[in-house]
Amino acid sequence: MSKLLPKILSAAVFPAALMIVSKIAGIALVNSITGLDWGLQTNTGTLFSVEVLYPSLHDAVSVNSYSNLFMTILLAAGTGVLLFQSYFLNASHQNPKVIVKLIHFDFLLWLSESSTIFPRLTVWLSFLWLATIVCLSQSLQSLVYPWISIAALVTSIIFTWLASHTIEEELHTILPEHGTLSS
Amino acid sequence: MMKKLARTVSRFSRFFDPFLVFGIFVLFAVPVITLLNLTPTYISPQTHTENVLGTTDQNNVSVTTNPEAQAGISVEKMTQTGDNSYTIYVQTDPHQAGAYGNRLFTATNSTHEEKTLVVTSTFENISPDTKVSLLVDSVKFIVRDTDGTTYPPAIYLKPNSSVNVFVEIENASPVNFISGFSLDVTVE
Repeated sequence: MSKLLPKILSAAVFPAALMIVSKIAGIALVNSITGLDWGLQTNTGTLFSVEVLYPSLHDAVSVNSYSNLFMTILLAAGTGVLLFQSYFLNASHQNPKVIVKLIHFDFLLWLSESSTIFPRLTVWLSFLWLATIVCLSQSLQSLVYPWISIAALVTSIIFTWLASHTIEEELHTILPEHGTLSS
Repeated sequence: MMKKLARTVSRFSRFFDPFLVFGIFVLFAVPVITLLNLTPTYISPQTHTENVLGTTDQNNVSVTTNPEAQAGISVEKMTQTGDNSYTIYVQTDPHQAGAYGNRLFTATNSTHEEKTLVVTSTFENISPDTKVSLLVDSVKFIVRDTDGTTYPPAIYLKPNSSVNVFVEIENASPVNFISGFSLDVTVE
């Protein structure tokens, strides 16, 4: 059995749940802040029969946009934490002083093995991109404000670049020169 | 013994990989589908308009019912059921055997295109031997025959023209109760 697949599977459970819960929480949050009238209706034409209903298109777009923003922020925060962890993991490999600093700021427990971090980071990035794709597609249908989709796209691109940079540095630590393993 | 068991487990464990891949796929697909289904919707304007006497659809074909009763036949009400469809409820009073008629509605095509009115009917409260026909420009379209068979006639509307649609109800024996039926008119 592959060792990577169970790691990906277990790493995907939390962001998948977060994606759903944050969307629902986002809708509830916007409803409570704005005090909009809303309701639930059953529609057997869709996969899930319950739909959230608003009196006007403007209200529906507004709630959808801000709930998507809330969800993207949470996914980006999760990815950011993993990026932070992987950055310090890499830095600690290269410089022992970093470990001392991490102990000083009580961040040592944040470190974990690269074999654990990188599959998780990849999974979280995938969910961030999925959220971005959903935002972009809904923006094209005028269901989400375009600035939210652009912000999600820019965040995803930056985080992907940072992740690839961190993974590349980690690979350089393992394979410093000429593609041979360091002793 | 333990080595053999470990080897057997190792051999069979490779069969779990497709299930794991499927599990990962499900974990990625379910949130996206949920997300799309949680997209809020809004209440679209109501298209079901009760009891209108006349209406104009989006294709500029107007359907105006006749408010006057004649020979015991009257239009009880007309309901708009969609952008291009209406239901006309017709009521007939008790009457002797014979044929009776009245104008039901006038359809006006204000466009430069040819239009067609497709009429389907529903008979729930009517004498079994009743024959119902529509008359348009002296052409008779049978809607319901005496054996209960129904037909959906198509009424042709020329560009910039209007037609009067009459109904004729025939019975071989007297009808001693108030009967009624509905006609669904769709503009195509």
